[in-house]
Amino acid sequence: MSKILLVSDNETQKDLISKALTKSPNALICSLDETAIINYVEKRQVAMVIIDEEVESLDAIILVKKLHSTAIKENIAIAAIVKNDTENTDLLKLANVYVTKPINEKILTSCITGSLKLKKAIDTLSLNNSELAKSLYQLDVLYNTSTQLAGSLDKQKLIDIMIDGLEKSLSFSLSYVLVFNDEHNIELIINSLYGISPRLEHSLKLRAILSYKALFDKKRIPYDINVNEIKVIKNIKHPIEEYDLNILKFDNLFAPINIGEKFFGLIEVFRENDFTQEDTTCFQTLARQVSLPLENAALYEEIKNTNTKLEKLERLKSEFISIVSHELRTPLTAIKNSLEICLSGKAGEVNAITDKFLNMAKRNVTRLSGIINDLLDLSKVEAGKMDFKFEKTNINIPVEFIKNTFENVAKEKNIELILEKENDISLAYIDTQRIEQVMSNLVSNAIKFTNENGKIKIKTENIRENDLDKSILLGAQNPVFYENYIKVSVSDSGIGIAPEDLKKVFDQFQQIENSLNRKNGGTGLGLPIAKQLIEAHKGFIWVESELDRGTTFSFAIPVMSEKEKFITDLEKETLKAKTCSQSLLLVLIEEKKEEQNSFIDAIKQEKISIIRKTSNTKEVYYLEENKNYLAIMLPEADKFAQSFIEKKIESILHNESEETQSEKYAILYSTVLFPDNAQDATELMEKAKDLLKNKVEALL
Amino acid sequence: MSNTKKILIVDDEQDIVETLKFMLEAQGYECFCAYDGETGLNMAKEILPDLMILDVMMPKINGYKISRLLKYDNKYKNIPIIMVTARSQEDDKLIGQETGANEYITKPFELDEVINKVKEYLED
Repeated sequence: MSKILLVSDNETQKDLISKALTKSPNALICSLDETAIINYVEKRQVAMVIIDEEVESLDAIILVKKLHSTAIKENIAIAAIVKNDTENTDLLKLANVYVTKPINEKILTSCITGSLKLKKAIDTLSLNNSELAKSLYQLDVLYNTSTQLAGSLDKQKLIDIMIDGLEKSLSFSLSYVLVFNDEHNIELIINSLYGISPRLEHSLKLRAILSYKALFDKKRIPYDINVNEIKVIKNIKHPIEEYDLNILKFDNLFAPINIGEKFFGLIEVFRENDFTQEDTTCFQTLARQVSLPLENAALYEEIKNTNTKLEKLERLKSEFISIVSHELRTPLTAIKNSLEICLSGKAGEVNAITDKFLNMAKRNVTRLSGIINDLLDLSKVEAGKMDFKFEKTNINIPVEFIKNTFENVAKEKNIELILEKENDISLAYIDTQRIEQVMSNLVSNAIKFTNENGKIKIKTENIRENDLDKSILLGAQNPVFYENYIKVSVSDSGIGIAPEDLKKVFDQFQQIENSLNRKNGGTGLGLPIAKQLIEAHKGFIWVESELDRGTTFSFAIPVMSEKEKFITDLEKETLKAKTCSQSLLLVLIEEKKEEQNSFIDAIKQEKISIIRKTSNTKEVYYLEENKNYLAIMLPEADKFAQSFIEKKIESILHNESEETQSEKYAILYSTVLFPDNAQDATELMEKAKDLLKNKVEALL
Repeated sequence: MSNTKKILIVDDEQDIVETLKFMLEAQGYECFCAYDGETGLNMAKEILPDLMILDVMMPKINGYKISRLLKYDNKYKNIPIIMVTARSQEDDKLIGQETGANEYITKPFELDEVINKVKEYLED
């Protein structure tokens, strides 16, 4: 029960008040010692202070002033007993209530009970308020924690975020999390305010194991744990002090952590002060909240591992194919040579039957060589090791060449081979030799699968992006589209391909059943290679077919501007540089005077000497946007090459400006290095352009 | 006969060497054979062949090195060299040319292809 403190030296008054309070449950204490009075108020040992204005041993007004702020904070009522004609306005202002002398017992009683009731109401209100504030804080922590949890796919980090959230919302003394990474990797993560004695650590381990076993009750536990196998990770805040076994007597909260249906671990927290219902809810919510992101993290880890394994397998496959193929070539050469010698008759006369079988052997050796070449091509292009020589070319040239090559073979089967070419075809960046390889594959397939007296039509045309049927572009990953394309198609009147097989034709080693492939000695690798070759051109290849009516294979190659081509190359080279941990230098040069390009011409002439003097540099590319703009890419060029090139440009610049007497700063250039200045092609280009722009601004 | 042209074949694959030797001898050339790089280099210096057929991957000294050693020596630099290899990467071709080899043929090759190349260098 709260007490009422009376400050008065008037004995009659004291009696009167104590009489008035006999019906109230509050005890009355009296004091005239200022220090003791202040102490009562500060320690909240009283609910109300009644002060007599006329008390003699101390100054009532000074005392009230001293008590005032604490009284307001602690919600302690101050009542004053004043003279009827008091002039002490300060006292009247500072006191919550006052009673005038002579004291009327009834007024005094109602005054006191009224004040106490008010105090009780305010107390309840402020308690509710502080609980609300605490809940709000916990909600805030929960929200922040859940946001953080959603943003991470790292198991360890997720656990850390959860513990951090618990610490903020519950301010626990000690927490431990038992984490099952796998059967032999079990961690006990202890977060503690103070240090932990060795026997406490041991008993925490035992407690964790017991809690774990208790979770599964009579059911079989997922793993058997040996106490010595548990790896302990400790995070101690203040190592100066140490907890011992007594912490186990603290209030505690416990929860299992599951990933989906699967058990992942458990958590227990200890706190000196008892946990409230809100704390428990908060704790359980957090333990539940971590479960979903943990599940994601586990899935992510699994995918990552599988991916790494797949990548390794893919690389091993490529290497294997490449090594085996090389090893096969030598004995094959010996066989081929021996057969040729026999067939030439130089090793002795060959009769008709021997000749027949020797020819059969030779034909099959040639076939085997073809397969090995295909395998090598495929592994090379897959590993990105195939070198392409892209040049701006009229695609009609290789197409026509292949048509002429196959004319005789077609004639043997009495197949009509027609070429319908677009004479006004756009020039595209193609590797003529590779396009011939693709075309020869498509045309020879068409001849194979077309019956005698059939018809094969080869067609070239200009198309736009919209003309591409994107639903039919099989297996293209993250395709990039360009505005204009050239399209080549080979249509036959052959046996056709069943709809269910259409998807498979570009897959490696997929031989379509019932096809004539085997009979006709195909390797089943021609189309996968063609696909890779066309994709290296940033193009698409696809097939349309109808059983017994015929098949059309088509490919489209983008018509790139010099700039687009340059960007594509830059992307390719930066990727290559990244995988080989090499550097790459990009040089941008801009000539301010539009009417003349003397400097850029000079740079182009110097091109070769620049490359030669920069060590390993293999190739240089350039682009002319408005004829006064030049970009040079130097793969494998490093910091030294960069400074060399800058010097070289400066020297050419110097000579030129003397000759033409033009302004000194008619030419601007910038050099940026990968990976020092930028992480990818786009960034590299932007950096270079920014540098140029800054130079322009510096001149203005 | 003193005007019989001498050809040195260096390859660690004996079967390949033998078939090449057979066909070249049938064409009337005199053939010498070595089965490793070191022997090949010594024989080249000793017999001064009119032409060499050189494999790349060989024990002791590889074909690139032999070619370079000979081509940078005034005494031997005029000997035409035909490089033969199972490797076919463009880079390899470049290295082959840098070493001064006159021709470059990839395995599996046609015997006629080799014989025609040989004839190009030895018969004007």
